[in-house]
Amino acid sequence: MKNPPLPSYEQYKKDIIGNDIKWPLLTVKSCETGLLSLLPKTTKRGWPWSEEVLPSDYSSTIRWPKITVVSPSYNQGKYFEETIRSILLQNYPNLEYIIFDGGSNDETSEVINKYRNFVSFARSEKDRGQSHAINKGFSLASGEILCWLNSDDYFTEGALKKVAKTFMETGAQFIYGDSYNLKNEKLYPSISPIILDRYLSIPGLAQPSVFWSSSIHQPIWEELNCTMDFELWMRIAKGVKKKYIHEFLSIARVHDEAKTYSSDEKMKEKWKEDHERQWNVYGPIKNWDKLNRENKYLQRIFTVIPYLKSFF
Amino acid sequence: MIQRLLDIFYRDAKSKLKLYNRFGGYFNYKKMLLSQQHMEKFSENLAPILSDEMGLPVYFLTGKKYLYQTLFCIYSLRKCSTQKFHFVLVDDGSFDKALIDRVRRQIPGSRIILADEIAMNIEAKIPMEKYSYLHKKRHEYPHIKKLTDIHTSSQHEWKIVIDSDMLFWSEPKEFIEWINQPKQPIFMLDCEESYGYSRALMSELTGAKLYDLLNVGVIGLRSSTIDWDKLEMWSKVLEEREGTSYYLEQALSAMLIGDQPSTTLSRASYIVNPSKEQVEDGEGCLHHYVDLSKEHYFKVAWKRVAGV
Repeated sequence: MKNPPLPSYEQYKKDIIGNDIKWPLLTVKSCETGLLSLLPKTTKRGWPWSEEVLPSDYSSTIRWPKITVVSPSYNQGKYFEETIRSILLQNYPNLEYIIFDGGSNDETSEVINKYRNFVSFARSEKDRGQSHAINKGFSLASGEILCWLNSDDYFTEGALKKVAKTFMETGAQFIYGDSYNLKNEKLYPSISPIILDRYLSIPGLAQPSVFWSSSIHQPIWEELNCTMDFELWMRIAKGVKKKYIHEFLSIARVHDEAKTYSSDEKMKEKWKEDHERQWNVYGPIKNWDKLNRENKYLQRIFTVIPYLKSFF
Repeated sequence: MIQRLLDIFYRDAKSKLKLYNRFGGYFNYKKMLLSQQHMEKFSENLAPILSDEMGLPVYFLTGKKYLYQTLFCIYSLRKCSTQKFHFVLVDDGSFDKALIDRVRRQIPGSRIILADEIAMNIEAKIPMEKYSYLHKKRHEYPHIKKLTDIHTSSQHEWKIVIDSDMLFWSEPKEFIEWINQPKQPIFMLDCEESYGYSRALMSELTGAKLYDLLNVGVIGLRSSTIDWDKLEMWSKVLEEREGTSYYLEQALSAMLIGDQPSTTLSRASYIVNPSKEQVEDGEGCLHHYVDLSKEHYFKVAWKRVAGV
């Protein structure tokens, strides 16, 4: 088995911050009354427009672990404000939020400028694609817990608190939860499978609901366009303590431009290319059908266990 | 061989089954243990609490296994009171560099009385040659260290020692008043008498009518008045006549206090073995989580203190 080509974060960091920017970056400023009153006004209602997680929900007796969220963006301006607000309005007391835009030519730059003063770092420049933007973001990260949230997805109310609490309670290094898919203004639940090392090669996790400890982080394989998330999970989640939060932590938008759901022929080709790249490095997965079958039955058993427990 | 098999397949199994049933079945018991693990892990993230050298001294016997409970107890006290406290952590024999660093980080300003210092104090006050039974008990029954290892220290004349498995829910005024001006012993009241020895024998040895229901969750004594000769003799006679008991330290404390005037903390506010409802309502100002209340302690109480 070969190793995937991974970039050096040291070099990225050096190129990005130069001599002008202090590292670690400043955390998102917190406000006793919550950020809602400080963020740009909006006429939209509900989460994350007129609602926020109350700052008093975060006990001051706890040293909340630092969470770094990276948002890569490219021409998703119509959704991006919701993404940014869903992160900031968590009012999480120890948050680092980094945005890397790939030089969008829609309303993205306006949105970023509106929120620039509230985030730890935001930059718009041409890049080599989504994975490159995510890697640039993580090269600046100083959080204990890491995740990325694409510019068309958003967190549910209180998601970061649930994740931090689970990290603190269980000491898990890899945490994942459920997600909703939002299609035509309707929410469809996407329940994550319970993952075991043996079945890590089977995709199934909802990317925006996955969080991991910086102690296991590795750069993303930039040549991959579509499968970079589960290729990363395969590398970092193996052999570490994993914990499943049976709650909806994020909402993933299903639209024509979304890579995961696009029926575009070009996108299908990109998925194929990614799989081939992975095969070239990791080789074919042995007994693929058998693994899938096993996993399917296991997931059924996992679904039944909570009901069985309730009888005892 | 048969004896061992009997132990494994009958006695051990039976006692485990009994334990599971007491805590509502196997799954509930395991859930409680998982919650305990969560509490332990979570304690690492509690924000630092300053211990003020000029504050009111509060003693804990603690170590590797119980520090997380000590931390939660201290945090709950800080949450309920603006009073400044000086926390003194007495090594139960398990302190190492990592634990000392952790205490320095999470309770800056606290004093740790380490094993070496304890050994010197003990050698000075209750030497092995004269108090061999107390020394023997120290090795086989760690609870007695709450008397021997804490009250041989000469730092404070009066010392209030509190158990780690307790949480404060509102300002403990009587407790604070006592530490401010200790004049007589103080203790909290149990939900049922647990001395482990007959009252007749205890009274015979002390020549005093003992207090009912003394619980050592909170106990304040004057170190200089502890009669170590009597303690040596009492512990020996109690065990010779009525065998060993988990509650020996509680019995000895009750005997040390005897019938001298003492402050008893109200049972309504300082609750031993609180019910689920009492925990959920945060009733009273202090809970001592013994016996079945451990379940509510691990599943509910600490989360409320931490605010999660």
